[in-house]
Amino acid sequence: MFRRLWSATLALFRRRQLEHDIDDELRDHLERDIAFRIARGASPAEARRLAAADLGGLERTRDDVRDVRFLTHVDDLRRDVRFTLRRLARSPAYTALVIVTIGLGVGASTTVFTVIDGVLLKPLPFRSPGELVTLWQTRTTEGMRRDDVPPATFLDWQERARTIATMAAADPWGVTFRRDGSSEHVNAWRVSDGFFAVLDARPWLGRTFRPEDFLPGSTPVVLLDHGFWQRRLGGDPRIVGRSLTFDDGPHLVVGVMPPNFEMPERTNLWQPWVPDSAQRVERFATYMKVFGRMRPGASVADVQAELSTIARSMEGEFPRSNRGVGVSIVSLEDVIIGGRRPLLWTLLGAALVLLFVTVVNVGALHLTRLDRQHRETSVRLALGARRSAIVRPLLVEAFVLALTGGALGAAAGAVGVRVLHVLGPVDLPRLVDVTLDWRAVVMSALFALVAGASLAIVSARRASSQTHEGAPGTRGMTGSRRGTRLRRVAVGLQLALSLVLLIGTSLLVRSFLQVLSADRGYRTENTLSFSTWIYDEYPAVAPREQFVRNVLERLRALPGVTHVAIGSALPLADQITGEDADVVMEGTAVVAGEEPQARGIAVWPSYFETLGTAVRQGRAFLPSDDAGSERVVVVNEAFVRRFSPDRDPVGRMVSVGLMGRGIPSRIVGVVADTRHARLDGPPEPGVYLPWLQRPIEAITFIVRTAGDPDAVAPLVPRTVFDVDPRVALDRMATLDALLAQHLRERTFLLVLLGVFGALAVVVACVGVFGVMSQAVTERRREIAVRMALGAAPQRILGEFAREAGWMAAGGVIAGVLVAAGGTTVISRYLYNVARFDPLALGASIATVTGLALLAALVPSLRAARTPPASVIHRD
Amino acid sequence: MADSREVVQGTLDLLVLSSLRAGSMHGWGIAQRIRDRSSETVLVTTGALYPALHRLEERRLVRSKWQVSESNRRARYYELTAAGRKALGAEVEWWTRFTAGVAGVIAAT
Repeated sequence: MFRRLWSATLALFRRRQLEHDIDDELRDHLERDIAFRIARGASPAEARRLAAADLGGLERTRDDVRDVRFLTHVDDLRRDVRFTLRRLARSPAYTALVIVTIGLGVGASTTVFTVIDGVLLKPLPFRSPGELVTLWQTRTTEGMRRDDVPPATFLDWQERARTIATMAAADPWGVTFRRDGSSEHVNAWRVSDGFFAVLDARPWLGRTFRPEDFLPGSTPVVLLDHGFWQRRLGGDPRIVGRSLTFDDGPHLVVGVMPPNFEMPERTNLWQPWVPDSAQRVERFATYMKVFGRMRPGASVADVQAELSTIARSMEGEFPRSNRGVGVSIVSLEDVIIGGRRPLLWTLLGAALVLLFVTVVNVGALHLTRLDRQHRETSVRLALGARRSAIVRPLLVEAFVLALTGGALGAAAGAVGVRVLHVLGPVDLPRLVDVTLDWRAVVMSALFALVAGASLAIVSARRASSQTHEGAPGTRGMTGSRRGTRLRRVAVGLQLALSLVLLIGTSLLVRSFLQVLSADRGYRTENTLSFSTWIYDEYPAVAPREQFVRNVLERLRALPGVTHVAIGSALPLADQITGEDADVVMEGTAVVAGEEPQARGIAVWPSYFETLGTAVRQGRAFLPSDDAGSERVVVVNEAFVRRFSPDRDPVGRMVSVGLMGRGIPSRIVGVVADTRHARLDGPPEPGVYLPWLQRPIEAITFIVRTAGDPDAVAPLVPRTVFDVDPRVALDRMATLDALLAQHLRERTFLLVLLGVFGALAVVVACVGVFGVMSQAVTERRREIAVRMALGAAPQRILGEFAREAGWMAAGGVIAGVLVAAGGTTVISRYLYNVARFDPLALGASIATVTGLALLAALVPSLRAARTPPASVIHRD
Repeated sequence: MADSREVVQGTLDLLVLSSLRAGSMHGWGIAQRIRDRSSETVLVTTGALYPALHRLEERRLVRSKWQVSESNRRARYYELTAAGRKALGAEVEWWTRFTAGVAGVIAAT
């Protein structure tokens, strides 16, 4: 078919040459004819007239020949397509099955490809994104490979680095947005001069910052995030030049950034950052994000080499803070999407497996159909039909089916991408930008063509190996041994591949359950939390404490509330799961700046009870553990394992430095381990301080309710504003919701792999059904004869069941072998589950085998119920 | 009935292929061969011959070459391809059976 299209195309382009040739040929003919007639005795005029008449009018002949050249191709193709459509219309079930199957495979692959294309393959929306790098501080002695950067260190790097053309930093900040009597905490980034220039980011409205915005005494300015502008300000087009109140003063809005500009991370606004005198010498606290654009021609390795040298010389200059401090350069692209690559490639792999299963299945269906047409083909061959005339319609059929399936797949892909938007991890970068575009359509077409070509190859090989000998003689026998074997192998292959997907899915399910059931050390049900920052509102400790007491009292009085507490950090909430505290046990000597660390949290006495964290040893905090009494701490079990493995920790002294100098404190209790930041990792050592002794201004309120916490949530802001309308609330969420969000990536992978696996199993079972039906049809006569001779139906049933069993067994063995290697790709998602988990393996094998046998049962039963006489009569 | 008649539809390909068995030939020569060998009972009109030749070439049963003829003109010569030879065999077989069948019917009446 391609050859014909090709020569037709060629003919169109070489039309002129072709017509010239035809003219020459006919003129040659005419002259020969005239010469011949003259030789036979005609007069030249007479000969000329007769010859022309014989040629049937030169013009007409020429047109006819030309038509042959052009139209045979087009005509043949049109006839083949019409023939194919008629034939397919005669077997609607087959046609629908094939199209839907191809549609499934193509749809899944297109969906996943679209996401990968949008997230991984399309370049970042910055000029020359390859030049952009991020700079991180490392402290390898403590396993910190990618830490944020202290402000003074950034300033030093900025001044010294030569391989980086421009460098900028961002300081995570939060401000209170006041409007119409309400206050809200909003995230902000304070960015250094040149931040937007480094990224070459243009504003959506207005302008970005100018050097004069960074001068002391200049008007405070803000640049708004597109989402914030839409959500909170109604997308007011005249916002630029207006003034909004943040914290305690008016800020001039200079611009709005474009949608999805999420740098360094999702935020609500940007402000100019001017380092204050303290920040100019701050080399301990790591909180700034640093970006740079490399000089053209410089590589990441070049930058790494130069910055490492700088870091080494800084170690000498600032030994107290910079001992062991290195630097790590990571390309921006790796930072934004690097972590998601395995997830997406895993999904693409699964989608391609599904596509492969569908193609194999369609191939097997197609073979069955070819066999059914075997007799017709034999007859046509015997009657002298050209092989190409038999193969061509098959090829056309393959491509008609594949392309229709592909179109269906593209449509399914469009739906699939929408589903992924809903399902996808919120923090999957750039997912919101992903839409089905022409690249995806091209990809579906390509997938469909692959499917079509596979079918075509199967058909062509089959038809061209068929002979016509003996065809009219053989009675209803259809199919060849080889074909049957091929189909069985195809079905076994499908079972194997769907088993691989199922094993992957069940391993993920097991891990998911493990993560869910792992002892988190706190309860999430009926628990509500929200945060607030009261640096500015309550600089003095006594009123700060009074504010907290008042709010807690009123929250406790709300209907349905059973427990209330505060803590400086909360499990599951990203960014606020705890600060690193330097801990030094009594009797151990540690070099300054190299103190071991534990997660430090300042908590209210009722914190453990409210979260349901068990006290294992000693006691929890008491209201009397306040500023006036002895400094005390409570530690968790992981802390004990690491820092006091051999001695009873209760009563021991430990120096704890939480955002400051270490203070000697007495350990009064041990609580259960809690999994804060990561649910699927080992618990980290943790140390709890009484908030009353360490009143940190970043506060998270925790409210436990008897009933639905969402019923209490609406009452909370009023309750807080009644105490003080100036404070801003943020991140109000139930712990259950935080947990769900935490598990989202896992859920995403699990659901998609599960859907692909389920589809693959269904498709494979359709294949089993098809092959078994075919086998039953083939052996109908034999069975009828045997039953007429007294064979028991159970025996017949048993034979077919055995046959299906062999197919399933082959598939299972092959599937387990493939899975043995294949599941390595998801090993990073496995938690407390071995890759060869017997339960997951067993359940998957049982499912595939069971469903395959079930699919085989229907045709086998039909065979067992064959009425002995009917078949003999029919032939 | 007339002494000579136009080719029965469908047998033209057979005639053209058979006449090429003797070697390559141009269109006029093919018509001439058919006329001579059938003792002038089968006439191929040129209006039918050339489309048929080109169709056979499209189907790769014959191929054509331009040669310089005796009179120093450009002339198109056709010859059988391997596929053409095979197809000819099949067509001949079919034709033999067909004519034998027809003869049988005629003899019986």
